[in-house]
Amino acid sequence: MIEKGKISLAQMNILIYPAILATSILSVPSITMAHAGHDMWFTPIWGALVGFLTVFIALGLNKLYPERTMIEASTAILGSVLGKIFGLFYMLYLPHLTGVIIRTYGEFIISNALPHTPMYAIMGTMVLVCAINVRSGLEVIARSGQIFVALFVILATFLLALLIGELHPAEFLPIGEKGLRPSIVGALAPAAWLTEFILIAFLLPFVHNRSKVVRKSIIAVLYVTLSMVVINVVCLLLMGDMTTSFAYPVMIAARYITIADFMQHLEAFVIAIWISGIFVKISVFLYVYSLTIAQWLGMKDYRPVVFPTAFLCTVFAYWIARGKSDISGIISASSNLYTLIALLILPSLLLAIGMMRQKISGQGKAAP
Amino acid sequence: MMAWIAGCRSCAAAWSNACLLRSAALALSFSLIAVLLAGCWDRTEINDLAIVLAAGIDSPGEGKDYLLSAQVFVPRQSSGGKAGGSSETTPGGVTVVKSATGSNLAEAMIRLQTKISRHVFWGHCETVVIGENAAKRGLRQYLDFLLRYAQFREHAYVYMSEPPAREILALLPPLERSSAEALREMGNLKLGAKVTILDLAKSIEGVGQSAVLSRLRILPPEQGRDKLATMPYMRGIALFRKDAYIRTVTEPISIGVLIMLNQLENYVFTVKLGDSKGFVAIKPLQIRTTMTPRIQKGVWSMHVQVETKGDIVLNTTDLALLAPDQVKAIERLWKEKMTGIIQASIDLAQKKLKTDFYGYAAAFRRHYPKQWNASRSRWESIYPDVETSLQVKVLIMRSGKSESPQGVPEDTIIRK
Repeated sequence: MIEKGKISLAQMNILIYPAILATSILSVPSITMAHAGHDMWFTPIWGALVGFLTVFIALGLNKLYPERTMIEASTAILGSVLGKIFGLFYMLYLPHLTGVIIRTYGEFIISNALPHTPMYAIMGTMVLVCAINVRSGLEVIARSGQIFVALFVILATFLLALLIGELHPAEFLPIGEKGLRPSIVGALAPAAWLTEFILIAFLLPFVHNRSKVVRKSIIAVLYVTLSMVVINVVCLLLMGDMTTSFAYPVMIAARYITIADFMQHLEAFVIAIWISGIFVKISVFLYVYSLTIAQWLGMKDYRPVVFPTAFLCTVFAYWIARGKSDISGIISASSNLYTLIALLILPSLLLAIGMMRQKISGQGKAAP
Repeated sequence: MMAWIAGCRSCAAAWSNACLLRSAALALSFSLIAVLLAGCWDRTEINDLAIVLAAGIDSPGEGKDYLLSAQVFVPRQSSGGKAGGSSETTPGGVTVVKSATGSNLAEAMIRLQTKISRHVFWGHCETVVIGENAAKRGLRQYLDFLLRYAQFREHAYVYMSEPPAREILALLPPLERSSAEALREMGNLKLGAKVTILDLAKSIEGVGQSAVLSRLRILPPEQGRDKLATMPYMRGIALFRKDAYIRTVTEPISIGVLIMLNQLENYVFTVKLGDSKGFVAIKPLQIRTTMTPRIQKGVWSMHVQVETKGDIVLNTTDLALLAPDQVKAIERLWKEKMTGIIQASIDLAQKKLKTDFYGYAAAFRRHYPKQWNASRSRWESIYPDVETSLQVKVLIMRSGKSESPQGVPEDTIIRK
């Protein structure tokens, strides 16, 4: 097997948490509000249904082939030609997704902290550190993830707690102003983010204690959903209908903190949260992509491809967009459909075919 | 980055061969890292910054250029006392004001930079003062700029000034480091309406499409003092329809406006008793205004309930303030007084200015979303006819340190 390291179930879930939240924390409040209006705060709950579905698909694939990632399983299920085509899609899709993540990071840092620093320095340094992390193996990614996620959660909770005094609970109303439909349309964005739970299908083979995997994965989805709801609620109660007019509502919220005249200008904490989260997120995606390439090509080790992969993703980060407006286009509702196809629909087709094959071969064995 | 990787590889290859080659490769890779780390593109030393404490926006009139003023902190004079020769009559002088004109604020800001030798930094701008003429032209441009340009803080307090904003910023108050600091402290004390940039934008962009700001004037300096050695102070409330300034209200209507907005603190109501010569002053401890919208059979109505508790702080009547009847009588008069003030401010908004300053639209939207969405386009014609019922509940909690009136002989006090 390519990866010799083993991680625990808890470590995997800890990796998944920032892998989903790191980017959603900044853009989900305003994207969901654009579609769902005042009902945006509970859209992640609809999204969670898609999250559960994704988790069950990933677990289903793992049940069919416990020791294989989705890419390895695809050749076993679809046969080598179709399976390689399936894998090729992910070879092309993953750098695109990773590129978007890296670019989102670059855009955020440039517009909020370092306006004069060239993009290649911001993205390049981060990708370099992540690549070193990935080369060190899954165990290292998991352990560094544990540290950074702790930081991420503590700082985020701290910031949100400081805002309690500025919130206006009256903003909760009206609920369902235009019926339930807008909130379901708005849920497409959190749903697209929650489909990233399909990462489980790549990481599960390396988890050594898989006995409680169903229960623990559901809890992981709930944690992510809860975090999204809390962030949306804080933005809504602070900024009301204006939430959608800001590029990074959470940043505005952090800048708004003023307690006792000295607890202010805390936006640097948001950047710290963001960097610690995005480090884990880029590492996880880079790892999954390197693993995909290595397995698709039948290599014995994924490490040689990590740096080229990292470079390719950085280049993709330039290719995908010219500016912030292009990025918004990529993470808007229509392209969420693209994400949904790649991370939900194709894996579910794979699972369906796999299950049918198993049934047929099972019957075939039973007959004689 | 690729070169670095190559360096790393050659380093690995050289491991077993020559120690010299290895250290050369290491040195090369480290020097390549140095290339990457050399640029501190966003480094600005603090002594290269001109820290702006307050921004002022003025306009000489329609169609003319805007004037953007910045109150810049002068760090040299803030630390320690002056070398000598400082006299009581000259102000502290830790701030200077620089201004520049432009056809819009962004242009003015860039021109302002050309007049200052340091990098102008707006991140600590805690106060924004908008001159009356600039306010008449509409706040939209200013709000967009303040909420788009990355450095401004959304928590900065916004005021409207009767004199040009530049003059307010130029003041050097004896009590505070700067007039910006004075205005921020006044905002925290809630001496007027406490409105941040975010609040202002929410209120204008919200369904009510209106806003209120505290209005500033300059306190005349004491005789013999420098004319800048004085403070700005708040007098009156400036009312905005959509984003444009329409008029100012002063006491007592401004008090009613603040009560309706749940923002009144620091006020004393004086009640004059009919038959006696004296009066009683009551300081409200808290005032809570709740609005309950109702739509019944197509009739839109709003129930406004004001609950307040207060302490007596002055009593020049002969009443002992112990008998429940006496307290009841004072409460009744207080209630009448408050009802009058609040009703006048409601009438001003609904009948005279026909502008929803108090959030009626938001309340209807929250509680009757269906009816609201059906008739939001007609809101401007509905609003003046919304039946407002006002209920004021007052309670006198305590009578201060004294019970019976002071400074009068015991036998004149009316105990019942």
